[in-house]
Amino acid sequence: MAVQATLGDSVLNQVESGDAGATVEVIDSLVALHTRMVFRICYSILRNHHDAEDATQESFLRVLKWQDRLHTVRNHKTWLARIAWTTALDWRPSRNLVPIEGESSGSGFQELLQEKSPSPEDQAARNEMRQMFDRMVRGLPDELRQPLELSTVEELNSAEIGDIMQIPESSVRTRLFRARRILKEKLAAQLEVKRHD
Amino acid sequence: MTEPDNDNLDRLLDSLLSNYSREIPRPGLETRIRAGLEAAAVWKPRWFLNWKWAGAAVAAAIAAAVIFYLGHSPAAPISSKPELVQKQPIPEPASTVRDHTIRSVAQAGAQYRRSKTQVLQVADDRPDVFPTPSPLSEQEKLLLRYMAGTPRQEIIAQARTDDLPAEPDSDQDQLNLIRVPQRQISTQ
Repeated sequence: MAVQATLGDSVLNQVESGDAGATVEVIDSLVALHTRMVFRICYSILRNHHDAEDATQESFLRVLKWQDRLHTVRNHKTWLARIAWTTALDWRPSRNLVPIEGESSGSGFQELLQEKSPSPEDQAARNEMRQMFDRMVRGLPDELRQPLELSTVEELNSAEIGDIMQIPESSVRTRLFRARRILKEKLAAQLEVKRHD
Repeated sequence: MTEPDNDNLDRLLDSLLSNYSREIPRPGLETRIRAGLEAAAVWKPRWFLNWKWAGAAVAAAIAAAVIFYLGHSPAAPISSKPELVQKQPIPEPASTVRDHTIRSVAQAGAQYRRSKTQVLQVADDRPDVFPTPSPLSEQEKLLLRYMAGTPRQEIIAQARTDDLPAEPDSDQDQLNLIRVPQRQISTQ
């Protein structure tokens, strides 16, 4: 893979030798490779496009700030993901977590590209379901919500989530299982209510 | 909950979770990030440089303050003892006869400098603390004792009588007016 070759051994060896040009090259490669992952991590926590983009930029600025540690990093992807995760968590308390109306409710670019013309009824139902699910996730305790949010980023597996959160992978799996069980119960209750309505 | 319901819930949950963060950033985010990184990378050395200069300025200000403080701190009292006064080295006059006049002028100059140094030393012979504290005299002690033991009103009254101008002693005047005939003593 071409992008993997960018972060190959030769470049990393140059970084270890303190080559400033190689450091810039590594950071540039991280931007090219992982911007989307960083954005999704930030979005999974902030639930807002603008805030997620700002947090993404801030994450890479932190990478630049800590570039001296680059040569000690074993896995650049999880290192960057952890930076993004902590940045988004730092970002969250100072920001309004209420999603912008119409943005996180089905008007994403992906959906716009995939579904050319969803009917207004379908759109409304999807928005409602999505907002309800966001509230359910937000209602989870932190220790369950955080791995769940990271697990929704498709670029990350449970081992990497464990590295990011600095917990064992088995704990990640356990927490995900518990979170899913709680969400399923809530969903069942919600659907039951709707069925009766 | 029945098995089909459970499966449906699982599928629904998977669907919701898979779409939970399936967002893509707006086009141009990478460009913006690179621009931000370039700006930060360019800004960083300037920032560092500015801090370096600021640190140097602060250090210079501290050094200047220390020098100023030391320069204006009270100097140690100069001893007026003549043996501690550093004597000016007197240049040795030339030994040639031709320079006899020069030698005498040099000696005169040296003498002048010596006397000037002594004058300056006398002028600099100042006490460390002004006014110089000295023990109370016997009279001052008596006065203080009297002041402490006497009521205030009495002291004020005495002070006023001292201040009043001396009035003519009318009794004495009257006595003076009375002429007492001098007794004539006959020596014969």
